Amino acid sequence: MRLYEFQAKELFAKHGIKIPRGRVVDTPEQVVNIAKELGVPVAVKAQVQVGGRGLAGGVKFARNPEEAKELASGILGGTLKKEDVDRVLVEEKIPIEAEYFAGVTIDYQRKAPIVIASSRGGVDIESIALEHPKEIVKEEVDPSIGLTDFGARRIAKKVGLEGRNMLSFAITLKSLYSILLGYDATLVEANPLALAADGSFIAVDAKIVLDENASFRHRELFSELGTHKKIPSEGARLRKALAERAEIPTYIELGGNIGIIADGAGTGMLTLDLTRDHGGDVETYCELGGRANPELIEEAMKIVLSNEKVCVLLINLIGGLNRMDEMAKGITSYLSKEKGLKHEPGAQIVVRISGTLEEEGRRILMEAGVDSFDNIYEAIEKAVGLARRG
Amino acid sequence: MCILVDRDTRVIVQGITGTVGSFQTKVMLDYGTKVMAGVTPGKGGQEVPVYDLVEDAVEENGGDAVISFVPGPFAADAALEDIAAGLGLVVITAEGVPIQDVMRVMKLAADRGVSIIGPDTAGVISPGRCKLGVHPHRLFMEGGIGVISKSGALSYEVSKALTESGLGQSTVVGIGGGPMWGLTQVDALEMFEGDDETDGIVLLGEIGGTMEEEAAEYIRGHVSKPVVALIVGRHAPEGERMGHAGAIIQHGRGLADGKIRALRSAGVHVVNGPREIPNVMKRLL
Repeated sequence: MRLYEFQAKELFAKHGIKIPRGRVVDTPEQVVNIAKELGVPVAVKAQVQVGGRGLAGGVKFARNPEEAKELASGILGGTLKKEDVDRVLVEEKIPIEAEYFAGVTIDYQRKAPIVIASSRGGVDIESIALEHPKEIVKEEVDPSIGLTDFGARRIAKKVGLEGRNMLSFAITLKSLYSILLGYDATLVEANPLALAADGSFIAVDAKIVLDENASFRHRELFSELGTHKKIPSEGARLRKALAERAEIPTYIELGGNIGIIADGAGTGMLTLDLTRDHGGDVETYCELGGRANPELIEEAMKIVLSNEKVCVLLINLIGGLNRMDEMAKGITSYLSKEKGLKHEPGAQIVVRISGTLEEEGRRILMEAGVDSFDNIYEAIEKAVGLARRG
Repeated sequence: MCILVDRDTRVIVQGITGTVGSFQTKVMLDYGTKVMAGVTPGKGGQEVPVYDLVEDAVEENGGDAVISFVPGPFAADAALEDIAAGLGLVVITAEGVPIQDVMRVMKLAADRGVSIIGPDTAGVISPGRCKLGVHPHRLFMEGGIGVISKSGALSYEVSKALTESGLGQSTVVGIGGGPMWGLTQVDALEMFEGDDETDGIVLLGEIGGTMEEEAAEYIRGHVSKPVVALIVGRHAPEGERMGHAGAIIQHGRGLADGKIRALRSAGVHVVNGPREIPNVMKRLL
């Protein structure tokens, strides 16, 4: 999960990294107040989780509080790359001598943390890699030793820094590294990391991506992040939010008329590919993981079928850990409740089951009057055929 | 022969008393897997002997390999315990293991020469001999095809197609959904190339990362046996994680097209779906 900039900056400050003075606010009036307090030209920055914010117009600079208010009015309440903007960070505009890049991430192939630094900060690392590949310093860290003082200094030297600047850059790297470890982050990045006139480094922007799998170790932080999330009122974003709340591993809408529910990523992608190959137009890609239970598939059916665009639901299950008797119970439970609904979903349902306890699953489905396929291709052909007839 | 596990593999089951662990242990025992003992802290003493510590289970019963049903938050510690107890093959089925935990396990395993399969894997099965995993084993049959897959369910689907057309499998290895792997496709390719029972290899890959490209490079230089590959996620949208942590196309990288091209240029026969695999394989054998 990517933190908002202001949250990342709070963690930076806690770990001794300098950040610009400022505050996060949600109304233009508050923007005026904070800009007056700061008494200097300010930056008004939309707080969103998507990348590429600057290019999309989410960062503006104002010379005075009135201008800041005007700019904030244009940003607040709008959307940026399809994300609602309900807060802006207002902070002092830092006079920058030079822009550096400093980041720590996990290298999945080397199976180790890696420090990335460059004297060409201010643009994303991909652009630096394209334009100045020789000016990126990458150093692997032995996780059992950690980032040593001399290791951090060596990186700072390679970036081209000397004297006090080298020392304070190295200290910043050590702070970034301890944030990565301390919060189970997969990415901690200060870019641009501005060199100020007094020789100190200031994180003008901050990016932290946390590992959701480690949320159990950071309950307080994660629950605080959760309170910032709003449940949207309708449509695709509501369905996505509901799927997230039900802990459905993957829910994606693609813009067709066939819904897919599968029990695993590999088999889900296979179902998507083959359905498209057969001329089907897929609306929903919903994947339950290899450890589903009756409640999960029932919830998934509810969410997928609440989408009016879905006219055929294709359920493709091939279980190892997933037991087909349990899946069948979830499917029939949904169907029996659906009969009581005022507005029955109009979609037709095609079920394919195979694998662990499939006979038992097929029997449960049959008793509820649901036919099920054994062969994936037959199920897909059926679903595509039904969708064509609309 | 087959690779990784065979009739004589002595298996320890970690997390044996949970709902999943106890059910899957019964299935493995029925299949003929030599399950020696189980481990669940605080639950020592049941049908198969159950211990509080892996080292005790191994000391009193012997053990070569372990399958762990311990959930994500505790899975890494469980694996560290396996490595400490001297087990040589560790299958981690858990999803959702924190990545920094995985990193620590992989480092120690590499230092001690221990093979890790997973995390997020269905395990490994040598049909008719040993099942160290959660596979629906009736879809599998003993034979000469080695299967390598990131996804468990996809390996069931393809093994089903192979079995139905009379092609059995030597070993089916699920390497896991990533984004950090113990055993890789290249490792498994190397083992199958050296295994005299394996006549042909099926490689099941997916979008994201560069592992399939590395496998292609390896095949070009080192694999003489026929390889048939299937890459899923051809129609996946950019920027969406498709379920496995590693299965994502980012900035135009990790696309199925590139992987398919790389594999084809290395002489691999790439197909679009499971039902083509047996026919192509039969032609090549």
